[in-house]
Amino acid sequence: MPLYLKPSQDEVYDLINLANPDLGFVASPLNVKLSAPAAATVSGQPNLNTKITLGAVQGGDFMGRKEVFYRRRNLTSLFRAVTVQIDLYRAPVSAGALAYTVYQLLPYLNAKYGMSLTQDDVNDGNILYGSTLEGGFNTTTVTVTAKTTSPGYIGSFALKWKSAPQDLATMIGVSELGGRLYPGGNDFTAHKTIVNLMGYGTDFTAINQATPWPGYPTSNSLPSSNQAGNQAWLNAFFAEINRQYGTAFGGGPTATCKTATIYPLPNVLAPEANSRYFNRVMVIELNDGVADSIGVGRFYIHFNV
Amino acid sequence: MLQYPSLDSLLYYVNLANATNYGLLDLLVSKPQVVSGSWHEQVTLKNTVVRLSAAPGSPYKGNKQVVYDRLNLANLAGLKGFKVWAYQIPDVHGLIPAIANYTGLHFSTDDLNNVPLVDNGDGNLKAVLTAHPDSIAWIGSVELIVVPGGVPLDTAVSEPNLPGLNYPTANDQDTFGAVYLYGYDFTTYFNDVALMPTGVLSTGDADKLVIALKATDISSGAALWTNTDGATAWNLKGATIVSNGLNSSSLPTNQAYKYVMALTLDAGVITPAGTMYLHYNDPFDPSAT
Repeated sequence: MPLYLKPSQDEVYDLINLANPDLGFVASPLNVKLSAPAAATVSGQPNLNTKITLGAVQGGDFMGRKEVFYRRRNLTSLFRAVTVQIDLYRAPVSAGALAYTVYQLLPYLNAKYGMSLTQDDVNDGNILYGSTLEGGFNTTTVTVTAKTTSPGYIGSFALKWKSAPQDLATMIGVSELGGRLYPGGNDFTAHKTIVNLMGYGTDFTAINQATPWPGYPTSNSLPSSNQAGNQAWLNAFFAEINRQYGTAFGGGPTATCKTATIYPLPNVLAPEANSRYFNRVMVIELNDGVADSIGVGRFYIHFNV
Repeated sequence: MLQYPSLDSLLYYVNLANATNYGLLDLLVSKPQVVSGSWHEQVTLKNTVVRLSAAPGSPYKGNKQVVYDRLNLANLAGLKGFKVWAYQIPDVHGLIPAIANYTGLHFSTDDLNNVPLVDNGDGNLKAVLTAHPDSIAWIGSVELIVVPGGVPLDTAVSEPNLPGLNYPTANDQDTFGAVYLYGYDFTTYFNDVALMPTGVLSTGDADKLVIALKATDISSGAALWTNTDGATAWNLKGATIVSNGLNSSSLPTNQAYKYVMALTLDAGVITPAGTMYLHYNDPFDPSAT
């Protein structure tokens, strides 16, 4: 259990019962109301700093009222010599903008320091994104003050918020990943041809030079937006594919190709391309799922310019 | 004045009818007698007569008989709010303060026969209030349900000075070790701290702990930890490991940690004070899945 397990109001009820074991009934919020606490001193009892009036909940276990004295903990004393610091990631905002409120940090403070402070115990406050950096992380220190009505606490303490590296455990909210599939899916019972390996090892430099597409070699307007203009090149490309694999890929309706992108190599956007022998690759993404698509996946058309 | 004490009520109506101002000590009241239909050849609907006499020492003399109505307790049963709570009260006379507290009806022991309360069979008790024949305000009888409760706080809370709230140690001027080290994670030093046996720290272990504390502590004592003879603050020399091992929900510790070391400094080291808890977990293995 934490250092202080219970909210301070519960602690006060525990004190009443501890000091008065013969009440007949256990004092609780159901049968005894607590007044707002007030500062007080008791002769010969230097520890006592608070008085509170117990009032019976009408028609219950108790009758009447009684003033009792106890000690509220001074937060200044409790955290003496302690740098109360909460490290919690905050996406950077401009200086002076709100980073967190005190109440937002209370659960973290309670967990780290074994406390059970509630919003009844301390005042809220804004923790602004400052300009003080510590080890590269933004820090802001505010004073947290006990509410005068807190049953358990008086005084105040300095609360230092420090931004921290963002935690993978909270960043990666989706831990079950989808999408690692063969093109067209992992069910091969009625599968279209996967074209990814077809022509990968082929040098298309000569074919591209003989039958260039409009804008060759840098334009990647292929193919759907300019299908007709690319037709001659597509015919030449498919002729080479068909020659190697015995396929009958045709001249390419619009549906055949979705996008075509030319990457200079090497390129982090196309890590799977062969940059050892080529300085360009055109990646043609087929229109997966379209009825007249000749296949699924992507062609890698390597060439040099 | 239904809820007045009996004598107050009688005096109130005497004074009201006669523009007098008798006080409680001015008059003596005889035992009441029943009146039915007439009194001294006068037709009356009142049910009671008493003789009022001047009390010795009062500024009055003589006596006078008056007729009035004593009220029948039975009619109280029809009044909303005729219900009391009481705790461990054996009999009707013991119940009188509770009746006064909850209903304002100020009976005296002279008004009611004292009989034990009886079990009502539903967890409550039942009091049968029967007017004493000499009661000057009441006649008849009524049953009153007594619900367990109504303990008077002013007497039941006999100890108004409550023993708390407490700090981790008895002296609130201390720097509390339990708070000071509570927030730190010593997992990085697992290979050192996990092996340290209970008992007084060896010099080697104390030196290792000083290194761990200096590196982990972000508060005001961070740079001050030492292992030195005679130092009275932040000194691990002679410190005792009270326990070291699996954490327990019975300890005032952070249950997010698997292990905890309870450490007390040497008696001559006063800062920080009290038992300190060093939390740690199994070392993190980035290859483990």
